[in-house]
Amino acid sequence: MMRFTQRSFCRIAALSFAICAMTLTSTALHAQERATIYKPAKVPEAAPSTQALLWFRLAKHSTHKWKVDAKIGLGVLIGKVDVEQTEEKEPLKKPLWPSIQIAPFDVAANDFAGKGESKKDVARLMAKAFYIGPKRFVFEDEDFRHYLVAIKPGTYVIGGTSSTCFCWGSKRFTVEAGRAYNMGETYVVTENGLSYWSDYAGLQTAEDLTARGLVTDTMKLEEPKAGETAPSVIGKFDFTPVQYDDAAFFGNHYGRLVNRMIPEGWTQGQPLILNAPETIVEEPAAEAAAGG
Amino acid sequence: MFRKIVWGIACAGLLTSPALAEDDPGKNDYKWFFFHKEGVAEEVFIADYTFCGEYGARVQPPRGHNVYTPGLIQSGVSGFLGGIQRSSQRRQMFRAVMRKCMSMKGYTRFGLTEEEMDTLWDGGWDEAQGRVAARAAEPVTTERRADP
Repeated sequence: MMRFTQRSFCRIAALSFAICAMTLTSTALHAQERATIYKPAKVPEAAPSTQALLWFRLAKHSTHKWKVDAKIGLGVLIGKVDVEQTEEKEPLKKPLWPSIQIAPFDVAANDFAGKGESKKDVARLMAKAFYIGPKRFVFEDEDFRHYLVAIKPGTYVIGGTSSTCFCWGSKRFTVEAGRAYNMGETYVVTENGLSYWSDYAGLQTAEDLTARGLVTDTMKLEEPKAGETAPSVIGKFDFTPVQYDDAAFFGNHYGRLVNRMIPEGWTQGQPLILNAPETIVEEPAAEAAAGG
Repeated sequence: MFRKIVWGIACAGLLTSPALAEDDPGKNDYKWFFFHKEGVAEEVFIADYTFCGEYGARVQPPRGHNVYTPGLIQSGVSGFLGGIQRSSQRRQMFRAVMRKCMSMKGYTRFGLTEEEMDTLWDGGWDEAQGRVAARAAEPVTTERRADP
């Protein structure tokens, strides 16, 4: 029988300590990689020196829903209920607010950092995508919820919403530590004709897909303008308008439905068009060549 | 008693089955259809279809909550049924992405019958791509234009 000596006790204690230290270090590193979405009471006095501060405005999503007509027949015995959407809208008890996904972006690979084409070059730890909204906002007015987010410097892409990847056309941006950025206004539109914003209410998915819940989201990004003032709760920072660039035809790594953002120059009633991938994919490759 | 329940479910299934429903020629257009863009070159159609298919192939239906099921057999059955449901959802999401993508690339969609669909796709994508591309390019002979 093995004897439990003082020496083995010390070895076990040292091993346990090492495991704990490794876990804590990894957690601390991980926390640094994550974004901080501030609550109103936690808004910092100054921009963190190691992170960039972003001011997002997410526009109200919708205030109504389609009235549905449930036809309960014998099918209910086998769990089948025919639900038909009517032409009538009914108001929601509370308005709906959207959320958007922001993901670290590898420009050279034209993909989410640590995913797909970028997988070989970037550690998975870096690839922490996160959502902004609908909660943890610092301020809400009639049309917008304002969010204040601190993230690690680097390049990010607006990846989509929880149901839709904007893989076919989105925007990317690069931020530096210690600076505060105005990210502009984002209008997330679910293509079901219920947008709060009448300009986008005409965007509608086919009826049979809507009935199956396969409705895509899209988004209009109003880029920030110089001189825009933030609400007083976050107004103490000197927000610089962020520079957006096109990002398109990256991978659908979260298995969502796919769409693109509403492009510049789009007018009401026009369909969203998908350009040939070659025309946009060339851009990041050329930039990478220039940079390297 | 058990026999009565089984008969009840079977009858309910029959009564609500599509076979007894009112005959609507467009009711299966969500799964039997072809894409059309008159005069499209075969290689362009194949490139567009492959591009859209690659995005469609990546879809994954959202995972539901795992329901606790005591016992190995029950969990097996529950997992099997869940798998069937997810696979059907995945097929629907795939079609939704294909339709969105092809419509954004300027294709329209027309409904087919099951027989026409089987003939068009006989032999799978490898054998059928030329046929599907030709069908996309030639003038349409059906009036049943479906939603994009």
